[in-house]
Amino acid sequence: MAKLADIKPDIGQLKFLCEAGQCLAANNRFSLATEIFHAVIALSPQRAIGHTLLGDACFNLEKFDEALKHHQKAVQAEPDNTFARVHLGEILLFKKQKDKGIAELKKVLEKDPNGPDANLARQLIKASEMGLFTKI
Amino acid sequence: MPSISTPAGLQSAQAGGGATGSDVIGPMKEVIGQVQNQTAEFSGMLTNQTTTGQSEMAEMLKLQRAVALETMMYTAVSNLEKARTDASKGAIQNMK
Repeated sequence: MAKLADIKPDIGQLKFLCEAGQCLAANNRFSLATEIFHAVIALSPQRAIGHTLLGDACFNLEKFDEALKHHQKAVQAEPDNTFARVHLGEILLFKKQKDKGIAELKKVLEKDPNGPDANLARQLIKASEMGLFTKI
Repeated sequence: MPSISTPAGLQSAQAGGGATGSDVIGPMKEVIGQVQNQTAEFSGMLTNQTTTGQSEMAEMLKLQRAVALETMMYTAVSNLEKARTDASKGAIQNMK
């Protein structure tokens, strides 16, 4: 039986796994999605995306502390990854750490102001200003 | 000729024709009193929030504000969901 370290998936295979996990998550099958994202992390631990997607699945399962841990690992793995950072900002807002959350979101806006992550950061800041996270 | 509704005393004074001044002043005072009472009653109605619909209007404005706020929140959450989906799609597509 092949060892995990021997498996070197190419980028297409990793994308496929991530998309499969996202499809499951979109259909509320978060536990299965979680298993796939654990596999993505095992296959490519240096990438932030596995940690972020796993954190997002935990977030949807209302495991907020676990989600925060995964998002922090994602930012540690790739500090310049705006996708990882915007999700860290989001979970911080949900955990009522508004100042820290907004600081992370502003870093995303500075890094890539026109990308989809910046758009998400803007929407999160707007929602936070409207008091959405204080109502949750 | 159009008839004016007046208290019985005044009508009898008009009908009598040769009524004296004091006969007319009594019913006139009654009419004036009635008019004054009605004016006071009407002005009371104008300032009463229930009869003018002011309280209903205030409730309606409150409701309108609540609905507007809810719509705003709904739009914010909806935009947030769309942005999350776009960000995830983008992140997976841009994996190198």
